[in-house]
Amino acid sequence: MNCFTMNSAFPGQLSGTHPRSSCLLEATGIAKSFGSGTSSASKLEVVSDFSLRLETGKLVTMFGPNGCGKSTILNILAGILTPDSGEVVRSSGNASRLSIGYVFQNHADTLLPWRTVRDNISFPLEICRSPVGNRNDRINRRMDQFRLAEHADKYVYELSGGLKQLVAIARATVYDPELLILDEPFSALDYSLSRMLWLRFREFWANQHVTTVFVSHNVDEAVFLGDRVIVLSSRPARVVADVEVPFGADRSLQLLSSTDFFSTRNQVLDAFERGRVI
Amino acid sequence: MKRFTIVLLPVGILALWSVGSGIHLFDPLFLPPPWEVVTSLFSGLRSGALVQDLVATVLRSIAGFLLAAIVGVPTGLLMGRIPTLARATQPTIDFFRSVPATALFPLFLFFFGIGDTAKIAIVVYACSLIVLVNTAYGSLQVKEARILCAKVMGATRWCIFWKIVIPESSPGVFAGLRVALSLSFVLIVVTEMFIGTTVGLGYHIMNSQIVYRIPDMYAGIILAGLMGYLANVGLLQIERRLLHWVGR
Repeated sequence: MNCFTMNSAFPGQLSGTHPRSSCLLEATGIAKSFGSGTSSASKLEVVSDFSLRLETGKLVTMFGPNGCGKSTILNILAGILTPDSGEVVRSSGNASRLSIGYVFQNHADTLLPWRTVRDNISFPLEICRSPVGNRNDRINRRMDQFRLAEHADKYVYELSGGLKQLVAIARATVYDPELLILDEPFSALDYSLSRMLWLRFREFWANQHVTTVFVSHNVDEAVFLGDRVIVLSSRPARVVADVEVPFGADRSLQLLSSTDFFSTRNQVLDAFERGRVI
Repeated sequence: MKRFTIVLLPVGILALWSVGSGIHLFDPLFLPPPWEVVTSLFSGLRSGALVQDLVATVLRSIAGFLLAAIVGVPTGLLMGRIPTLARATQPTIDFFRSVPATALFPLFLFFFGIGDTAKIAIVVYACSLIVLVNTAYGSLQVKEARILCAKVMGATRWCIFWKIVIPESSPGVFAGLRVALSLSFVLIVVTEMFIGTTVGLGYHIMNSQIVYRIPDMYAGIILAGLMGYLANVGLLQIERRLLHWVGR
C-alpha cells in the first residue's frame, strides 16, 4: 500500500509509504514553535508531540482551550505549515495531491464579495478547470444540500452570518475534497442558529462521509458532530483524550438532551479540565 | 431634495456672479457678465467652432487617459505584489511624481515634436504615475486569507492574480483612474494653450484671451469644466456598478 509523506508547504507534495489503508492521513509526533532565535526562551511552543490518525470517512472534532494551537495543527494537516519535527503521512493508492477543502476561521475574509453565491461556490471548480456542464451540476447539488438555492444570485454581502458560513462550507466541499478541514466555522453565531447549522452540516456529512477534521470550542458542537472528539491540552497543544462518540450517522437535535449525550459530554469535559492543568 | 442640494452651490455662484456684474462690481475685461458668456457659448456651439475644439480636446484626453491606464494598472499591480520591484522603483517613481509634467514640456517637444503625440505623451506620463501608485496601494489591500484559501484549493499564482488580486485591487485602480481622468483633461487643455495647435479648448481659451474676447474665453473654460464633470459622472456610474461590494 502506497502512502505519501507531506514534505512541503502545500498538500500536493506528498511522498513515502504507510501500511494502513483505512487511514487517510496520519500525523505523528508533530511539534511546532513560533518566534525567532535559537534559544527556547525566545520561541513559543504551540504544538508538542501531537499525533492523530484520520480514518477515511470519519468526522473528527477537536476540542480545546482558546489559543491552544488548534489552528496551527489544522494548518500543519493541510500542509500550509511545515512542522518543526514529526511527520504527516498520507495513505493513498497514487501520488496525486491530497485535495483539501478548508473552511477558515475568518471565512468571511475568504469569500469573494464581488461574486454571487453561485459564483463563489463555483470558484474552486474554475481553479481545477472542471467542465462547465459538470460544474453546474455540482454547484446545484451542493446548493440544494445546504438550502442555498434561493440565494444563488445574491452577493455574499447580502447574506446573514449563518448563510455566509454555509456558502464557505459549500464552496470548500463542491469539488469533493478527500479531506475537509473546518476551523470553528460556527463560532461567531448564537446558540440557536449554531444548532440549526450543526444539523444541516451533519445532514450533509451523513450523505457525503467526507473525512473531516472539525475544530470547535463548543463542547456540545464537538460531541454532536463528531464520530470522535480529540481533546487538546492548553498550549503547547497535545492530545489529552480521544473520546469515541457512540451515536450513529443520523442525528437529531433531541440527542442534545439525551443521557448518552451528557455522558459523552462529561467525558470530554473531564479530559478538558485535565488538559488545562497539564 | 438631493437634487436641490446638488444645484444649490452652482446656482449660488451664478447668482453672485450675476448680481456682481449687474452692479458693476467686476470689471468686464476680467469677468464679463454670465449672460454674455452664455451667449458666446451658444453661438460658438451653433457655429460648430467650439464643438470642433471640444471634440479635439476630448479625443486627446481620452487617448492619454486610456494609455495611462494601460501603462499604470499592470505596472501598479506588479509593484504592489512584488515587494522587491516596489523597493527598487519607489524612489524614482516618487521623484517623477513630484516633477510637474508641464515643466517637462521641452523634453516632450524634443522627443515627440509639437503635434498631438507630445500632448498625449505628457498626459500618459503624469496620469500613469497616479494610476500606478493608487493601483499598487489597492493591491496591497488584498486579504492574505483569500490568497491562502485559493492556494489550498490548488490555485496557481496566475489564477490567484487574475481572480483575486485584480478584482480586490479594483477600488485602488478606480481611485487612481478618477484622479487621472480629471488631470488628463486639465493637462490637455494646458498643452493646447502652449504647444502648437489650431484646434482644442486650450487653444480656444488662449486665443480668446490674446484678442480680448473674454466672454469667448470663459465659454471655453466653462465647457472644459462641464466636460470634466460629465466624464467624472460617467466614471462614477461605472465604478458604482462594478464596485458595489466595496466596504460591505
